[in-house]
Amino acid sequence: MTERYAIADVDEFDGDGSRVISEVEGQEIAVFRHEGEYYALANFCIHQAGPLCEGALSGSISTDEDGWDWVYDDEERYIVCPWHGWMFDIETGRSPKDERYAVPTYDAVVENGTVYAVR
Amino acid sequence: MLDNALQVPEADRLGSVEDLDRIVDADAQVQETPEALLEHMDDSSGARRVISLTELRHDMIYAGPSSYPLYEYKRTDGDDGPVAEDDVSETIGAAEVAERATEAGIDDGVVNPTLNLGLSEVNNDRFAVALASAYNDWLLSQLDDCPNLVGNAVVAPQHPERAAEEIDRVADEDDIVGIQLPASGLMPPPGHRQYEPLYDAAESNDLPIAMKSTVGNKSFGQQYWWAQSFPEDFVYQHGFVQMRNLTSILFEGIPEQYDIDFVIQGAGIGFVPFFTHRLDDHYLELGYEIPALSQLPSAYLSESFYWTTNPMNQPAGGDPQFAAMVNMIGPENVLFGSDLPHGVTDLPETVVDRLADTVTAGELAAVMAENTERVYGL
Ligand code: FES
Repeated sequence: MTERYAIADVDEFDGDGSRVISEVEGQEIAVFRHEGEYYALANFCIHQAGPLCEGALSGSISTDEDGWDWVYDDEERYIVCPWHGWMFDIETGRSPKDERYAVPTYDAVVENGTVYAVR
Repeated sequence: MLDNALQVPEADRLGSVEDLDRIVDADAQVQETPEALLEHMDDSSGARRVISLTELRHDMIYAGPSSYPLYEYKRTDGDDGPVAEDDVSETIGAAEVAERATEAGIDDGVVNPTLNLGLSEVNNDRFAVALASAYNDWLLSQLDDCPNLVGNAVVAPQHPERAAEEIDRVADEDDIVGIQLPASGLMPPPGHRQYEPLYDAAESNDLPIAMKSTVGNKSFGQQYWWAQSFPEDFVYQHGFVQMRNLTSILFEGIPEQYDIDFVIQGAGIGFVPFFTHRLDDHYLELGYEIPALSQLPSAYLSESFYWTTNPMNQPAGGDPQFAAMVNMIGPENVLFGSDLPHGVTDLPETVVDRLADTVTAGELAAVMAENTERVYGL
């Protein structure tokens, strides 16, 4: 059965890179605004249950094709847990380093100026 | 207490060490002396001349100030005679190692050097290269009469191009089954790009790289200089040297770049679960600084890193955690290693007794022989 939680009004967001964390039915859900879209995930780190979504957003580094230069991608789509620094993609909930490490995500749906987390 | 969940059903267990088809030792050692190696250097070699003129060869060629003299003193009787069979000034050739292995119930083995585990700290590159070649020739002559032993050829990390030439020179010898890259004192650490020729040669000759740690390793950080006794050095060196080396190899992407098996010797397996968890944890945390990898460090460790059992450092009455650690690492990545003929030898039954209830007979046969045969292509 689909669950649907009202998280915040869109005007509570302060542009891209902002977030709202709200407690609904005993669980905390965070919604991030990123490049005009909304992404929802549990404020819960699968490592040691830290408050994942209270951490900073970050870009990422990869190597170029010949494996030598480091390339910084400044698209800040990774949430960094404030406890031990594990990172997760706010869109997929998955670690950029190993997809098996993932936090629960929700579909973020906007209706009549309210952002809902749906799953 | 050991979790009962680790116990395997009785029907799947090996009875005792006698029930094994064969035992293969992934970590035996011959013991070479500088004098023995000089015989395998050309008379015209300048390195031979300087080394032969050096009085205290062990100390002056291989290591600087060291806590080793205290250890030697302890093992010397009132008339300066040795009290231990493995006095480092005596040669222990392959025939003698083979004899001791047979007495211990070991069928076959892979031998490593003793003195030349300190090769990384020889600070004259020409000497290091000459000593490596001399050791390999000495080893080959030793192994000629020992059908049950094969060996790792040693290379001088000081000169990776020469090391690669040495690998190419000895790779076709039937008795050479791997390369020993002496783990202690590697400067820079082994993930550095300067070692690429050495890794290229190991990969193209399809030889695994063994890395055995030793003591008296003055390159391992400033703290070494404050070791006031041999045990103050001996206790911590092996595990920490290996962790430093492996972090470098992994985080610099060597296993991503090369298809090479690594055999890690001398530090036992106790540090491996802790180290593996720490690698993964920090990769998940700081992986943006480690872009060379495409999977968790633990995945590379499972694919191509093998750990020899010695030293087990067992407390009296045994240690149930040993079995737990073998299961955590995976029995397919653990190799029985005795460290024969040296003083901290672990005999096959010690390993088998600790594992008999907690890994299957098949897994135990793998730990005691088959894994080593597979990795070394025996
Ligand atoms: S609890 Fe989040 S990284 Fe440890």
